[in-house]
Amino acid sequence: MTRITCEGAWIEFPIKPVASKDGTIADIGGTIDPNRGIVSALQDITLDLKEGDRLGIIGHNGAGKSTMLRLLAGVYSPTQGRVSAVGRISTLFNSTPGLNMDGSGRENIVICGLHLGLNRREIAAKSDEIIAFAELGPYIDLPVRTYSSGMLMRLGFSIATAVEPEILLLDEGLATGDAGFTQKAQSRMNEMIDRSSILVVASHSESFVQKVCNRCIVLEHGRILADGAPDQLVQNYRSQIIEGAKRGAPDALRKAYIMAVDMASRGELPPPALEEQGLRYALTIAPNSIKMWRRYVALLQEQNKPISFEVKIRSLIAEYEEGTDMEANREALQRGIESRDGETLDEELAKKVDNILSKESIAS
Amino acid sequence: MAAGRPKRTPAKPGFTTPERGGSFSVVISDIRESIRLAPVWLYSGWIDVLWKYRRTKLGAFWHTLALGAFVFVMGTIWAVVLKQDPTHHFRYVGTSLIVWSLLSYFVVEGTHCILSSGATALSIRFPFIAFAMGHVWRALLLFGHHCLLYLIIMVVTQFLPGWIALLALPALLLLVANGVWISLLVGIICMRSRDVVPAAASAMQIAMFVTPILWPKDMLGPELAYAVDYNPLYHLVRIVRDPLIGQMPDPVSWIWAVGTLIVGTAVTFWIYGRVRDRIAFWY
Repeated sequence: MTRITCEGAWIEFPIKPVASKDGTIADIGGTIDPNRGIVSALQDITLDLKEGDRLGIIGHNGAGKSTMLRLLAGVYSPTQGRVSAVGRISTLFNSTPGLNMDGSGRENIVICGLHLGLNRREIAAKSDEIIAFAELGPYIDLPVRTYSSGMLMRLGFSIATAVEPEILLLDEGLATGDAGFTQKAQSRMNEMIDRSSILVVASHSESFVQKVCNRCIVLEHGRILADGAPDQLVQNYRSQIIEGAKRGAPDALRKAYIMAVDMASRGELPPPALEEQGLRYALTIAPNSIKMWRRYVALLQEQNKPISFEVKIRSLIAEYEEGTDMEANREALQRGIESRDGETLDEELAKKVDNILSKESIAS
Repeated sequence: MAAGRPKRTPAKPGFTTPERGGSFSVVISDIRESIRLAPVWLYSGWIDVLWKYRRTKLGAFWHTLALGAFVFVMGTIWAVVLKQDPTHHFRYVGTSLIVWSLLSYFVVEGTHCILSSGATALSIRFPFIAFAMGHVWRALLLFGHHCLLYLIIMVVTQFLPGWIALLALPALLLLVANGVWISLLVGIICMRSRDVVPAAASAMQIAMFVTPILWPKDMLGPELAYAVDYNPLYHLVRIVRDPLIGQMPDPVSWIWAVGTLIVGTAVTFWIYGRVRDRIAFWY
């Protein structure tokens, strides 16, 4: 019976006493307690995973995702509480166990395979399959040192899954892979799940978790914030980000952008509210992109939201500056300004508008 | 586990952290696990040495060559300085240094034996004792290269140690057994405090001059010679070296070596049992 059980597990890292004396929660990372000289990376984790569980762990940077995986792998022993696991474990974190940069891919298959619990005969039998799956071509006989991070990940994933683990722990494993490999990797993980084992994956990509997992936990500052069905949790997480972005929190805006892009890159359509916030972030970086302005205005219309005077003017300026028919665009801007209904523009924007309108009048 | 399913490993896969039972059972289960994992560290130690031949023509023999040059210079100079019989002294210094190189490798390179295994130790639950065993195995493989130097010295100085040389084998086994606790202890200390890494190298350098390796023990004179008897390193080197140059080592040295093994292993495993679960946090 494959199983992982965590009972009230804590992970507390020893640290050198730090200068800052306020033992409060920072925006990222675990809770620092300067008096005791520890960082609580994980706090009171209670979890029970059974055969067929596909757990996704989501959360901000430094929320404790990687520490959590190491706790489940038995690498970190909890400072309080207990963790136990039954089943053959295979992991793919930052690097594959036993990996040596000087060895060729082929040699590393042997070493990593040994570390993950295969014997030489089994490795010899699986070697061809691993090589074929990794699709490294002639690189398989070159030192791993020469590999790109994507190639390393392919090799690591192929080895980690070829050992037919009962428990597979993955950390952002597929982030560096190209779309083709990600597809292959997903179908292999599904096969693995069919053999009734446990998968735990920590990911920044919520839509990946939604697609692959049947259970999800949200970590924040080392605590389990929520535990449940991925669809529900990811949606809650998303709306939380959207709310934050609406309030103008810079982190949330950026995260909204990352989420929307991630969904788009997986061929999914981001929900309009998310895309709207993501675009707001993108427009702060590229304020002159007409395509993004058009999309932004379209999104607002789609959601029946009012288009503010400022947005209207900004998009008209973008049209003018990037567009081809300058005269028409100038007139559009002129009309836009004239349609003002008591609204005012900030100084900088007003100056810009004046500049454009006066410049054109001199030319004519 | 499904009963009918063929298992790859005899031990039940999985783990419990912290392990049930005290630190003693942690040590026992990790020793058992390390022995079960022998194929893993035997292979990786072997291939590590093999890789030394990549992109260099001499590979691991570079160490032997460096040692040979050192033996040649030291053997010649010290024979003159100490007014010793050159062939005899050359043989003495050469053999001593070969044995010393093994002991010194345990300590100096042992500082990295856990430190450099971070990729593995942070990915799966792996007994740290196995890293020390792997390190000792690697040291032994390099020592094997140095045996060529020993043969050359014997041929050049035209000396045959006789059957007594076979006594060096059990002595080597005892030295290697000591190597496990030495590497593990140094490895753990260096994880906790990185300052020890350079300190260990310096300490071994000084120890080389304090231990009768480059000079024979009786040169110290009757008043000081007894001090050497309290140096465990001396006895560890002596039990292997003396048979190789055709001498019977004093049984006291054997007793010292066995005593060092017992005390050293006990202390190291006691520490190991207490800190095993903390080591991963020190990476």
